[in-house]
Amino acid sequence: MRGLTHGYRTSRGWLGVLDDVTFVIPPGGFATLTGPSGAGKTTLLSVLGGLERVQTGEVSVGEHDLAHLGGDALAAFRRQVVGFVFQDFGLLEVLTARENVEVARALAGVPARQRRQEAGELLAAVGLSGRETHRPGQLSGGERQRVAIARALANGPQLVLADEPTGNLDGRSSQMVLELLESLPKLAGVSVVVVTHNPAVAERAPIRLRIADGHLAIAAGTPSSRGGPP
Amino acid sequence: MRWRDALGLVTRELRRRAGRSALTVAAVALAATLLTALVTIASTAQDRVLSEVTTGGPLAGIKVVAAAPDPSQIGRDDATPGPPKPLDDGAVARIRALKDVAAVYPIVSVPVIVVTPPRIAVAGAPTPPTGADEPSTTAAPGTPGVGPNEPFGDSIVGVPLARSGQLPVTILVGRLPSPTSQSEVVITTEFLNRLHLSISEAGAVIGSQVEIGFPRAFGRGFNRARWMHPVIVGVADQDAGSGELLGSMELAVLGRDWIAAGGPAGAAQFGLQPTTYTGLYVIADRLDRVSTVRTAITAVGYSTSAPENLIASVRRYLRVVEIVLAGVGAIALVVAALGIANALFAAVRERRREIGVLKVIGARDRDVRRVFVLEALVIGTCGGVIGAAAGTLTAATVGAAVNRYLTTQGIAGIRLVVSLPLLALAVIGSAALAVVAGLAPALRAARLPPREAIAG
Repeated sequence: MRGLTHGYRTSRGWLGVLDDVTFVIPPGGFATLTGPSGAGKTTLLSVLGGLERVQTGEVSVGEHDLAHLGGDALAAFRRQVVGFVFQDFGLLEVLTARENVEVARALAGVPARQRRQEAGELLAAVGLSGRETHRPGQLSGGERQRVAIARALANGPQLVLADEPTGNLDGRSSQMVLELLESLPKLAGVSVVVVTHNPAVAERAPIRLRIADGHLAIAAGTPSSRGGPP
Repeated sequence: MRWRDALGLVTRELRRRAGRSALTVAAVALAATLLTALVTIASTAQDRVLSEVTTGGPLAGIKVVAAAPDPSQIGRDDATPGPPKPLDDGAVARIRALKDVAAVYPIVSVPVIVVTPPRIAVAGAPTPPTGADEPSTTAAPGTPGVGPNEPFGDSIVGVPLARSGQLPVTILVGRLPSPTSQSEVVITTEFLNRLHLSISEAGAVIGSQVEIGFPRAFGRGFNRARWMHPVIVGVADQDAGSGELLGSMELAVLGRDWIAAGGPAGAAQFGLQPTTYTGLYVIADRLDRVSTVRTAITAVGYSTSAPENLIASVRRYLRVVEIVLAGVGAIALVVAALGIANALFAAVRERRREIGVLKVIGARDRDVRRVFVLEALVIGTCGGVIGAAAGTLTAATVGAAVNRYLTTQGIAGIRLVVSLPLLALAVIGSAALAVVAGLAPALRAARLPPREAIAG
């Protein structure tokens, strides 16, 4: 990401949220993003994940240049390149754990039998064997978040973006989810960015980004802070 | 997302919101029910009732009287007859042979002396005469009614009762006499009025015997009547002939022959016309042939009347009814469409977060649109199927009620026309309507920006 400037038009005029943000996360990197409320963490994640169009600057994930994507291409980017994990899990309540994972594969056009098998394997990988037919309401918070992680991994993404993934979890569940997210770079070669308010969580990451008043600071880690390739 | 996957998601959503889904389906079903029932009833009425009427029946009937036509009155519905002219079997045969004539029914109207039933007699009125073959009255036929229980002169109209469905006879209470019976009659509402009874009180007189006498002159001023005591079996409105009593042709012919046996002068004294039949009821092949047949009968030499202007008015009113029914159906459809749109807009509002999740994990706008359009399609199809079935049932119920009424009138029942194309149209139309109504909510859902949607 290089020179990203982003804002919103409001009834009181233009509201700048991100100002000339630049950073690089190497493939298989694990980063945390901290900052006060309203600093622009979620906006940064949204742009990085293709939920919003790039306004000014360059944003690339792998070989995908987001500044030139829009509409269906951006949807395909979200489907194939990134996976999202949310604080409130973002699961479809009417579907079972397996069907929630399957939805991501269904959107990618994978045949039913294949995606059913893959969803089962992914759930087993996150420790949810035997919970495939449970609906989100029948699962604990930690289990729901693991279903969300399985879904995020369903289409083999290059980047997983987690927005406060432990915000609604107790200590033990938080620990399990964090360990799972931390294992992703090694297990699947996926880059992971975790937004968190928890300093203890942030401290565990090799790359620590901090954002305040729209400006990004590299608290620790290896990536170049400015000028390097995104 | 494939259609099948979208359908799986839709069915689960509909099940989750079962109450609202059921209400939305019910709204569509109600509209489809109304439309199916209205169209089925209207098309049955159009196809069966009107076609039966136009291919023969009371509306296509022409009254012929035993009189020459008045040239100045020929074009009028209620033409005034000219001078009396005998109407015999030869004349009937000539009229029956005319082009576009479907049937000819003879009518015999006979003068009669009537004594009202004693059981409904008003207190203080004179006692009715008793005993047959006694000239028990001084009232002559043609004398105006003089009140309950007093003899009065009138006429009994004899018609071929087996064909009553083709004649201008409507049973209001009770039933018609048996076709050849000489012991049963029906009375008209004028007779009821004479008894100071309303139609709702007609039951009081049904089952009573009425005393009727056919007068006969025996010369030298000596008259006597043949007295009979038929039972009143019903109350009817009739326009077949002039008279407050209606009976079988056999009863009227018996009376006619008794009076005629007193000789031409005697018969004339009691008002019996020197004719075999006092009138005919001629049914034209089709409603639009009534005028042609009237002209032909006039050429044969008899006076006619037919409710041609009434028929034209009826057809105009039927057209108005059709327009109103179509309007009601259209309003029902619009209400159903608004119900579907409202339900889907509410679903979009409620499911913003879900839409956001789908978009975040890579759903395209058209995937989201497909889910909501499919939801509308499922609602519309379910509503259409239920509505088509309920509409047919409703129409069948109405048809059964109509048939019961027609049967009491001695008219063949109407078989309901259940049109398969109509049922298919109701289902397909409901589904299409639902899709149209669901398009706006679906587009709105599809256009939601992912980040806004995921924020809920």
